[in-house]
Amino acid sequence: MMLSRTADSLFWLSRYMERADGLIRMTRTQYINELDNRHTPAQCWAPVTEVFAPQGRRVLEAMSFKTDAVLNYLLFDPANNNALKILLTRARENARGVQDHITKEVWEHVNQLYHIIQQYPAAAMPENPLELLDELTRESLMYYGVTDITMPRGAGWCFISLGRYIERCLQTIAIVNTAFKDTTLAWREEQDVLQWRSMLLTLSGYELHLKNYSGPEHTQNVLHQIIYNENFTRSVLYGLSRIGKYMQDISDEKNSETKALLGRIYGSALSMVKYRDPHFESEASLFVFLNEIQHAINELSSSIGNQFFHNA
Amino acid sequence: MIENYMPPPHIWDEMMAANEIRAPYQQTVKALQMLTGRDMDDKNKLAADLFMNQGVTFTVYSDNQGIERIFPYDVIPRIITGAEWSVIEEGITQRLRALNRFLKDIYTHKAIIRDGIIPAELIISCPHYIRDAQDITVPHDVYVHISGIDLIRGADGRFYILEDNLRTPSGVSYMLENREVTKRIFPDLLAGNQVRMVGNYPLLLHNVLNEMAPQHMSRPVIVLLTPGIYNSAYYEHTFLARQMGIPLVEGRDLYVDNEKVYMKTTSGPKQVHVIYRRIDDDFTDPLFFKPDSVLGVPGIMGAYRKGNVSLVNAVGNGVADDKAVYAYVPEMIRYYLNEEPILPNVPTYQLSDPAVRQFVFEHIETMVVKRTNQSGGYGMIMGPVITEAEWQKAKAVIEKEPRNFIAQPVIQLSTAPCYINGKLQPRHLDLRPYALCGAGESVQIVPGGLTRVALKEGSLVVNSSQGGGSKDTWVVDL
Repeated sequence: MMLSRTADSLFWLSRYMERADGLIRMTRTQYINELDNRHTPAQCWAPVTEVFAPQGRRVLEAMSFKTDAVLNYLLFDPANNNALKILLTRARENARGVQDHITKEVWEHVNQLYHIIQQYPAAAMPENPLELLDELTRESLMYYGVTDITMPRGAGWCFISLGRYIERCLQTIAIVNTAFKDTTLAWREEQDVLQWRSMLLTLSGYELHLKNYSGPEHTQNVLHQIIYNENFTRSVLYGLSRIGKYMQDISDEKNSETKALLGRIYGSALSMVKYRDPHFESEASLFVFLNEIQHAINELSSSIGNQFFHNA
Repeated sequence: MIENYMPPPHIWDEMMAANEIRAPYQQTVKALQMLTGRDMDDKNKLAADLFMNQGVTFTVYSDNQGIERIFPYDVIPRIITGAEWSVIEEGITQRLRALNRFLKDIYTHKAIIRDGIIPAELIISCPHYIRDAQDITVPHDVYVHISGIDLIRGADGRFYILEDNLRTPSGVSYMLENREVTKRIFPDLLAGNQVRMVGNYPLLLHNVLNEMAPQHMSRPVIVLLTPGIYNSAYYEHTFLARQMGIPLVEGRDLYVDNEKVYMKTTSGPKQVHVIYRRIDDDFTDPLFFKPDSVLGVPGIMGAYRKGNVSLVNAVGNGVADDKAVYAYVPEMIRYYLNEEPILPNVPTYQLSDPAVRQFVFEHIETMVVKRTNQSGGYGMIMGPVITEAEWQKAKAVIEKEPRNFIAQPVIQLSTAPCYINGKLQPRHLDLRPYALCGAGESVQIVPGGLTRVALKEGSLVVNSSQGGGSKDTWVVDL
């Protein structure tokens, strides 16, 4: 039992932190990629923009994706609704409103991250971007550790986890969507390695891929890992299985009608992934699938909102 | 460092007396002398970082913008002896017993008015006298559950009552956090000085809230009602809720149905029995008070009157901490308790009396004029420093509504050493101990309180909103 408002804030605290983590990770990967001369700035930065700040694409394109401008836009620019600074500010606002439901350690960590990013004014450009991105990556990882170790496993933890995995699933879907936009399922051999290397690094799944997948069907392998691999913590199916567990936990206190409703919505999303033929015939079938599953997860998110956050 | 410390003449200094270090400070001074300026700077920085990272901040409003600041903390503790503390403790206990009886009386029989001790006009004209609170019975007849009474020390070394805060006094979290920070920066000093503990305040508060449940019940549902994250004391609200393990709610989380109060939870409505509210009377119930307030809960006054929910502090306490009523508290103590006041008031002039007003106007250079219904140091007129033009303007305002102002002679608050810009400098300070009243007129005061410091040289205004800071306060047994 907890206040509806508290549950709502915990859910969003967690979604913003997960989004911030994804943004930091992807920005860092692409920044390193750009240091390699093989990639044009547009090749590096268009995907990040597409996933995290699609509304800024045109502005950045006009500046031919100049690194400084892109970094500033993604990290600090108040005109960008999804800038890291704004995400961390929102995460902290939510945390501030539920300080009595998160541990002191979690609050202090979120607060500390906020103060780190707050040091940079809107027009800032860090002297050494990689150093900042490394620091942020470390701090973000630490947030997961601190949350995992100190938070008690009650209703609060369930809402935090739901926020985390819903956001993560949506992010993974968006990243795949973007990566396959300008390419075909039949990549040429030499491009393959590079193309999925950066995508897998962004999802921190490169090592897992090397250990578990082999054979000529690189593209299908990558898709299998990102969508179906239940041991990969950023796969869609893994995310859905976690969502299922926490939905069940919080539904226990609900009446049977609500339970059935939530169960139905979750079940249809899960079956879309779990019982599907893992092979993708064409790009079109991939995009149809991605759209459908994205839609289903959004619906799941809004029904959690209706059942737990907005009820009297 | 100590050698260069020069307290101003004719003022009580907490540490120095005629070039001698006072007894309670001796050990601490010895330890401070071992430290270099560098050590002190490091400690200062560590303290600031601790406050910032924990989010121990308050919000200052100016130009419609809220800016988050840490409450400046001075590393040198303010030390008082156990003997001095006993007087404070007895004096505050006595005062609160009288004030509680006064509130009970004023909202029921009004005997003190009929007996001619307090003029009826003074009460009726008080903006915080709430007619709607007439004849509401409160559990155990406790109205002032939580108070923060401000004390100052005069040149004679005695403590005086400066004002009573009986509505929503804040700052207790700073008292507790200051001590936690001191533990980090002067670990040996605390242990070696036999400093009395303050850390059990949240537990005592929780006990009092438990006692205030409307019916006898084993586990009443207690909540802390905050105006929300934009309130300047929001940190404190979360701190106390967390320390007591009770939900921190906002007005929108509560609703009233059939004269009972419920909170909205993920598993449906849950009845609430005790509300520790940190919002003012005016905002509690839009049906009774400000109709446009969104901070409160519509209908809560009905539930309160019915006795289905207890509000802490009680509604209508503002009539007892009005600055004009303050002058009558010594009389209340004599009237209700048949005792002589242990802690004296600061002399207070009621400006509604034309002759008195004339006298104050003639001696304004030695007076401070305060609004009777304001706190936080807003609307204060400091006679010694005001310019002629400002004074003429202020005078016109006072003459329009003299009831809303009182005057007091400027009291030179005592000073204590603060570490500022690399050296020890004397600064003026006050003391706010936090007292809790439970059933059967029991009063508990944790030994210590919040020492507020005016960080500007020579300034007498200690409020955090006006450039004040704070110190850890030690009660030591010599």
